Amino acid sequence: MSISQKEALHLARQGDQRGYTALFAELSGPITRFAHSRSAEDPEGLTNEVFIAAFEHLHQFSGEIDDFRGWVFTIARNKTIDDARRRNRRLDTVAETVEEAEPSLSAEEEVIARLEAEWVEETLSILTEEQREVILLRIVGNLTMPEIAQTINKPLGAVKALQRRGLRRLEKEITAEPYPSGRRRRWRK
Amino acid sequence: MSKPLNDDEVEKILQGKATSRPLGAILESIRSHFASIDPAEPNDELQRFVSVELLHASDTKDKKMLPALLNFAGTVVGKVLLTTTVAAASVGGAHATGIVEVPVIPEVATAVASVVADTAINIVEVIDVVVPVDIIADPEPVVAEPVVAEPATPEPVVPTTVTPEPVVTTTSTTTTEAPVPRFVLVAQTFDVLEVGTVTVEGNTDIGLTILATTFAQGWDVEVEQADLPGEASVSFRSGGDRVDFDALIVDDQLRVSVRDRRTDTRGDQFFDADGNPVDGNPVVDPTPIPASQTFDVLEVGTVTIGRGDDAQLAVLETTSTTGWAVSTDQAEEPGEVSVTFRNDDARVDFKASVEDGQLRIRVRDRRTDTRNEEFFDLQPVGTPNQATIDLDDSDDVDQDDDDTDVDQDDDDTDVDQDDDDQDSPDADEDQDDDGQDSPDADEVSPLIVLRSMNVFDAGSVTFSTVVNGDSLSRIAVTSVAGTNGWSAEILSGNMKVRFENGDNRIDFEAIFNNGEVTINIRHRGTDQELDYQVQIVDGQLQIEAIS
Repeated sequence: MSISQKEALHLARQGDQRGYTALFAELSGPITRFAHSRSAEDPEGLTNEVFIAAFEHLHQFSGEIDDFRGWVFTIARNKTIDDARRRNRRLDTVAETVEEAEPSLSAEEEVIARLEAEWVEETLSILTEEQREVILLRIVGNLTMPEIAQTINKPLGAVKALQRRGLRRLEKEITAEPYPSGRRRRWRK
Repeated sequence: MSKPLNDDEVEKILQGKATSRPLGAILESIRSHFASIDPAEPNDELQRFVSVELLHASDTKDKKMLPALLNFAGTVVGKVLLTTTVAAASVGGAHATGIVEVPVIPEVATAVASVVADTAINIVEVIDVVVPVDIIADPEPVVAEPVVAEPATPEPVVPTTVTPEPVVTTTSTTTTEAPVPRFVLVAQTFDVLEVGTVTVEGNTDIGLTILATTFAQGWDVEVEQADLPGEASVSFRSGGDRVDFDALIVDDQLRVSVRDRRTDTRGDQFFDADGNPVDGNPVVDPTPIPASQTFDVLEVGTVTIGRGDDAQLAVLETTSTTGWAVSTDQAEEPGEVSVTFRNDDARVDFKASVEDGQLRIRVRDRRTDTRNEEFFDLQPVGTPNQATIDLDDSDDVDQDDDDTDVDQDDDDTDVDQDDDDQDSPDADEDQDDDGQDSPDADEVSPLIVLRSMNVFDAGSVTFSTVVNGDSLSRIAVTSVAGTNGWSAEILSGNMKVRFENGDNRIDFEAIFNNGEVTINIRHRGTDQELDYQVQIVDGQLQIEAIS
């Protein structure tokens, strides 16, 4: 017998730590990955902030478990926007420091990881901000289209249009010859 | 080049199903890049809510075990010592090998086994669990024989036999009461001068969220990247004109700032959590003063009045015919404007004021000592210009432009802006699932709403939508106009329009799908593509650009 997410939400509403823990266990991965995908400065810290805010304000959430993911991702989205603003302000006055390699990675692994990250960033940069957000929520956050609509506060039709147009743009860019920028984009099969 | 993506293809690609398109490989690479990132660990603050012990218990190859373990922890008696790698395939297997010793009655052992039955886990935890009274009725101590002897001499695990009281959890589970934010704003809609409305909600901890926007005819709205965390920023644009709306929770009050860049004026207004003004000069205008409106004053000249720098009614411009001099006078009453035309001894007075939501215009010709007074209806601020007409039966909706009996003359148009009509609680009940009108639509009071939108510089499209409560049930293009050398043609079905200018072409298409309307405009010459979402928000037809 196992506790479902629905039961977890019920327990959490009663202030039961088992409920909080089960909800965190289910969603912390997607939220952390989403924070990474939005280039949050401290994705783990941001994930903690998201769940603290969610649990502290759980009494304000009146929906059921089907809406809960979208609600938590809404908080995550707001946090990533705040994070981006903070970074932008800081970059105005402080030079960006070079990210240090993780000591656990070998030099080769580090190069591969860096290239992969660069490739992902470059690929996603093709998209508009809204298109990128929708596609990342879909493939990184594993949200459904209605959940994405709830998260970014747009009608379902608008979300579908953003997704469709974003994918069209991605496809157009990666299949175009030559590339508009005059350089070939890296991508893996 | 591949054929254009359709929605089915998109779904297949996003679900990772094999397709011949390279896009699938791209998305899969992005997905796998992020999938390698581990979830965050709860920090000290979050551990007020989340139990690291319980979380680690689930930190296995199969995270689905956590709920099972949690559930178990909530129902089993005594202390359970699990100090080894468990690879139990079944309840019997687990017990028979002595891998798991549960010093309680067999039902509980079953519960434990159900936790570990599916996969291998590695748990080194002592979990205090709940003690149901009925389970400990016959407490026969059972000595555990852990396989791994760490701690070196584990104390025999014995059910807590002397616990007649009702069961209380003794795990690290705690009950936490979430603090209530100091300031909680439930959805509030603010009129932003005459250009639109913004609906926001939020609280001190999460900040503000923009729920909806509307914009007046000729204006576009855009949600801006805010300067401050938790701030809501919206800009309204019309050509080179711009009005900014910013809202932020400051010191447990909502501060709304509106900056009218046309006049470079700005003001702040504070509101409490119920949306009531606290103090400051109101910038969210309570009176529907038009941007500008020009009146002929007999034969002597014209007066243009409208919103002044202080957001109050003001004289914006005057003209006079030959021989007449014009002056703007100090108004006798607050909120009133006064203009005098003089020609030697002849004099004509013009006064204007807003009273009871109407514009009151008085003209006095002192040559004949005659007076004239007229009242003009004003559009509520932020209400897009739209003409609506009640329908007796939705099946009678006439989409033929020539015959549609919609009078857009301000004086006569039956503009129905009563929210009650549009938000009828019966509306949803009277609507079929497919979004089409039900036979008893009489009670729903469906409305036709006409809107026009410009299509690049090629012209404009006017379309009619049928509104049932909060949803749209039909849309059709009713008229088009080409400009700047562009021709415009409504195509069959009244959902598409083609603009052409030599070899240039622009396609306009309205798409109705399950009660949602989107508009796609594609400029074939520049390869630009614009999407818009048409929807009913707070009883208003809103057209929002999808970037």
